[in-house]
Order: sequence, then structure tokens, then C-alpha cells
Amino acid sequence: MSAVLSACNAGDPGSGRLSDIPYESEPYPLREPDRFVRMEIPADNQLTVAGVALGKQLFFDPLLSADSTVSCSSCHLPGRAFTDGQILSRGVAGHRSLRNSPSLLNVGYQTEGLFWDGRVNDLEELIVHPVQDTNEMAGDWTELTTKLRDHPEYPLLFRKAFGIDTVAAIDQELTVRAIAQYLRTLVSGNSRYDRYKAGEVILTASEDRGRRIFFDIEDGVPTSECGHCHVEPLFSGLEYFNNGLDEVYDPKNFPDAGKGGISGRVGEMGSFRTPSLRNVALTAPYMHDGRFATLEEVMDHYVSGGKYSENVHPNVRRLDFSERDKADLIAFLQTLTESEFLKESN
Amino acid sequence: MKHTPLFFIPILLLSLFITACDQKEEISTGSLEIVFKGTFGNEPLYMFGRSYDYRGDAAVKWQLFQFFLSDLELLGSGNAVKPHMLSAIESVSFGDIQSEEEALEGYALRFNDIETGTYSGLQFGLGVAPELNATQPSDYTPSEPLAQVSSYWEAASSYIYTKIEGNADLDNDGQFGEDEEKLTYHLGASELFQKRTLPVTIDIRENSTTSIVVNVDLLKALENTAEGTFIDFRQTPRDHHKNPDVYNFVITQLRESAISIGN
Ligand code: HEC
Ligand code: HEC
Repeated sequence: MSAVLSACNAGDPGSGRLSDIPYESEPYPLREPDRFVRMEIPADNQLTVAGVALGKQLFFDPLLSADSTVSCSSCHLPGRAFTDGQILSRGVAGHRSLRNSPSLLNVGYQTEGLFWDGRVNDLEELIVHPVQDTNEMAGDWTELTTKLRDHPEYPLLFRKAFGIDTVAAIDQELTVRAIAQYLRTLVSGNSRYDRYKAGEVILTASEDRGRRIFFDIEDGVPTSECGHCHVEPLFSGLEYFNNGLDEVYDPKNFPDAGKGGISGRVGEMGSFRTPSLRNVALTAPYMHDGRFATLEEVMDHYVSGGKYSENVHPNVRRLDFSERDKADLIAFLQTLTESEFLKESN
Repeated sequence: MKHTPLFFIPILLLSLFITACDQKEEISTGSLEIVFKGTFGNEPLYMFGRSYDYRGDAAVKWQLFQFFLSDLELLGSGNAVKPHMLSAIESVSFGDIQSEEEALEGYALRFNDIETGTYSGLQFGLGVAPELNATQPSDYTPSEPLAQVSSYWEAASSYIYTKIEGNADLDNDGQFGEDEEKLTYHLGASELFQKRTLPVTIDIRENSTTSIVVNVDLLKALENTAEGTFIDFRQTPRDHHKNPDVYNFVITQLRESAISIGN
């Protein structure tokens, strides 16, 4: 089969005509964990094997940035669960992004808004931004489209993915669609904890105690309230909260207004989307501004009950924790890492 | 491959539906809008932004008040009008109501294709009916009420019937949500599911929308003035369905007393 296909690849991208190259519409076999609410995929951008492959290539290609130095993967590294280990990310010419780079694992399940403040609703809409953001790739869609059309390889890949007839049909919309397809395949639901849930492994005593603390299973362990916001199975309820990072007496004074900056609502000032804790051991530093370097620092924040502002969520409150409780809770968080998946997608 | 047979199901259902419709004689239908208006006592209820007096010795700024209603049904009258099931499950949330204008507008649910006639009441079950409570979020598509993972309690295999959250000022220092002033009540489990009927005349007219107002008084969910009983924020600032004194009281108050027909 592949021999036949490559034999047919005699289409001549140089002439602008692509119709001799076969269009491969084979659906991509997305494997979704049973416990996840099914992913909503737009009807006009169903996943295909060729579309996902194109999206993946684009994601890792610095061609997308103004000076070909930065790719999406510069700030979303697979080995770090698609984050970058930086407090704020470094874009073209050393520019810094305004917030910490979030994990892209399970991004296809983010139905309640994207970015830390939820300012964008779907992936196709979002992907336009990093390419042209001056702090990120500082590029220009018109120029990028020209680069892709003139490229020795991309016209063929676009043809396979979308069945376009001419090179001129390569545009921003198809580029975005391909990357969105790839991002929707970044599904993480097979951590050690998931295998424990499936009865395949047992947790250590410390991990299991941490699990009971996390979910407030009050059998001789203290309550943590974590599980009310970091809800299974994504370990995020996809809601926006102020978790008490900054002491603020006038809601106008949050250093970053988060969701409130978009909605203008007083109650949402300083609120951010609850991040998933899947793979959290790989995603340091933590919070929207990368202020905490380690999980120990995160733990100290929550145990203290956070800082005062009126709209801090009431589930963020001082916790009665020993050193052992903190260590066990961290041991549990480490069971949420899916290392095999990360090797695979490199 | 695995999914191929599924494609046929909608087609099959659709064709069944079409043939079913063909045989039916034209019935005249109209729509109903139920507008839930939250109050705290006599004050319009909205989240954040303003504080409410509680029993003269505390103030609260609310952050969330929501609950599920199951088997929402219009009651018929006599033989002439048959009962009409509006919805198996709805979530009513005041979480996005964050200003006085929004509070006065209320939270609206709309139902279409209701046979015309004069109905005699509205019936609902407070919470998630046991057969639905045996399901879980992954059984639904994201926009359905029961797909909300934050309303599902995996460890208890149950949906949370109601969430009431806010920050109180108990020491009258003008600051809300300091230590021990944080209020969270996440309550509900199948054995507490019960129905309630609100008698009200609802006229559904052809091709038009009838609107009714349902008042929801959060204060009544927390205190029973007739009996002199109430949730004492100082004693029980939170409960995640562990304390029967709290959950039995709030769920019963919410169902029997907080929800009423408005005007
Ligand atoms: C310079 C670093 C940088 C580059 C390059 C970059 N990103 Fe990001 N990305 C970020 C940061 C920082 C955020 C968070 C911004 C915010 O929330 O305001 C983010 C957020 C996102 C999100 C939202 C995730 C969520 O859960 O809300 C997606 C999706 C995403 N990026 C995809 C991409 C894609 C695709 C590319 C390439 C076209 C890309 N990024 C390039 C830094 C970067
Ligand atoms: C009221 C809801 C809420 C509770 C309770 C809560 N969190 Fe969070 N968590 C959040 C929000 C919102 C953020 C993002 C805040 C920000 O960046 O501004 C967050 C961020 C985090 C992060 C950083 C993740 C990242 O990728 O940057 C970790 C780790 C974390 N929480 C762990 C916990 C633990 C452990 C507990 C229990 C001790 C807990 N959380 C309790 C809402 C909550």
C-alpha cells in the first residue's frame, strides 16, 4: 500500500497542482480513557492520520516563527508534559511571555475556555495567537503561508491531509486545523494512578495515604480539599478560582486579574482556570506566573490557607498538616505522571 | 473501525422518528420558560460583590449556589390535559449571576413542544433521581448537565445535589473569609431524593411562550424560622455530606421551603 502511495507522489508541488497526489482521509484512531467525558471534536475538523501527522510536524517546526528560532515545542516540550520548565517562557529574540506555559496534555478536553484566563473558546481559535504574539513566535500569518507554500515538503503533506488541489489553497485555516488535530491526540489517562484504579497495580502506603488526604476520605487522615477543585478524572473541574496567591484588599489591585480581566467582573478578579494535576511532577514551576519552584512550595502555600482577598475560594483554608501529610500528598501527586506516553510522543 | 456501527444508530433513530411523526395527527404546541429568581430573604441574590446579613450576627458574600432538579414535570388537569415531562435533569446555578440586574433577570430554562392546555402544577425532584445518580459524567457529552465533573463525587459515586459556597464575616471586622469564616456545603445522596409539587396554573398557548417565575430563597435553605432551627456558621462552616444534621436540614429546607412560585 505505501509503495503504491509513494509511487503516486509524483504530483508536482512546484507547478502548484497537487491533484495527482492521493488524499488520505483515513480517520485517526483516537484512544480515549473510559472515565473521560468524550472529547468534542468539531465536525469540520475530524482527526485523520495525515492531518495529525502534518499538525505534529508543524508543532515541532521553528519555521512558524518570525526568524525560524522558536517552535511551539520550544515552550511546550513533550518531556516536560508540554511545558517548558521556565517561570515565564522565552520567545523570539529572548522576549518573555506574560504567563507560565501550561501543559497541553488533555487540552482537547478543555471545554470551559483556554488559556489561564479562559479568554479563547476553542483550539482552532487559539492557535492563531502564539504564531503572531510578539512575546512568543512574533510571526505573521501571511508570511508563514508563503513559506509553507514554497516549502519542498509541506504542500504534499497538506494535500494528503486536506485533499487540496493547488498549493494556493494552503492557508492559515488549514494550518491551524492540522495543529489542532495533533493537539487533540495528546491524551493522558494512563498514569500509575489510573492503573491503580483499574486494579493493575497497588499504591505504596505513602501514596495511598496521600490519595486519601487528596480526596478527603476522612479515615484518620486530615482533609485537604484538593479534590473539590482538582476533580477526577482530569484532576481539574475546569472551573476558575482565586486560590489565594496574592494579598489584595481592593479587587482592582491584583497583579494579574486573570479571568476578571476578561469578564470585568469583580468576583472573578485574580481567578484562573484550575490546572490539571496530571503529570504535575513534570510541570514545575507552578501557577499562572510560575511563582513556586517545587511541589513542596505549592504544599506550603495551601497548608498556610493562602493569602487574604475577599474572593479566595472557601475551600482554600488553613490545613492541619504534618510534614508526613505533605510528603504523602506529594507522593500521591507523583502517581499522576504518565512517563510512557511522554516517551512515545517524542 | 470500532465506531462504524454507531453511525447507523442516529440514522436508525432518525428514520424511526420521522415515521413516528408522519403518523401523528397535528397537535398544537407552545413553549414554557421557567425563570428562577434567587433571593436571600427579601434581597435579590447575586454572587460576590455584596454582603448579606445572616441572623443579625454575621454577614456573607456568596460565591456559588446551585442545585439539580430531576423529573421536572407539568401536572395535568383532570382527563383533559395529560401531564407533560419537561426534562429528566436540569442544573440551576446562580454562579454566573454576579450583579443586581442579573439577579432580577434570573436564570431561565426554556422548554418547547408542549401540548397546549391548562396545566395545574409543576413537579420536580430535588437533586439527581436515583437512576440518574447511578450514572457518571463520562456517560454524557460535555454540554449535558450531568457531564459536569465538578458536580460529581467520584469517591461516593454520587452527584452533589446542591453546592452552597461563600465567605463570611463572623467577627464583624469587615473582612470576609478569614480562618474559620469559609463556608462550603456540598450535599446530597440518593436516599435524600424526594419530589415536591408546586400548585400553579400554567396556560400553554399555541405558538407562544408562557413564562413563570420560581423563587429560590437561599436564606430559607439555611434557616427554619417556624422551628427556630438554622445552620450555625460558627459550629458547622462546612459539610461535604458527612454531617447528617447539616445535610438533612439543608436538603429538606431547600426542597420544601426555599423553592416557591413567584410572580
Ligand atoms: C514563547 C513560548 C510559547 C510558544 C512558542 C508557544 N506557546 Fe503555547 N502557551 C505559552 C504560554 C505562556 C501559554 C499560556 C498563556 C496564557 O494563558 O495567557 C500558552 C498556552 C497555550 C495553549 C492553551 C492551553 C490551555 O490549556 O489553555 C495552547 C493550546 C498552546 N499554548 C498551544 C501552542 C501552539 C500550538 C503553539 C505553536 C503554534 C504554541 N503554543 C507556541 C507559551 C508558548
Ligand atoms: C478552590 C479550588 C482549589 C483547591 C481547593 C486547590 N486548588 Fe490547586 N489550584 C487551583 C487553581 C485555580 C490553580 C491555579 C492558580 C493560579 O495559577 O493562579 C491551582 C494550582 C495548583 C497547582 C499548580 C499546577 C500547575 O500546573 O501550575 C498545584 C500543584 C495545585 N494547585 C495543587 C493543589 C493541591 C495539592 C491542593 C490541596 C492541598 C489544591 N491544589 C487545592 C484551585 C484549587
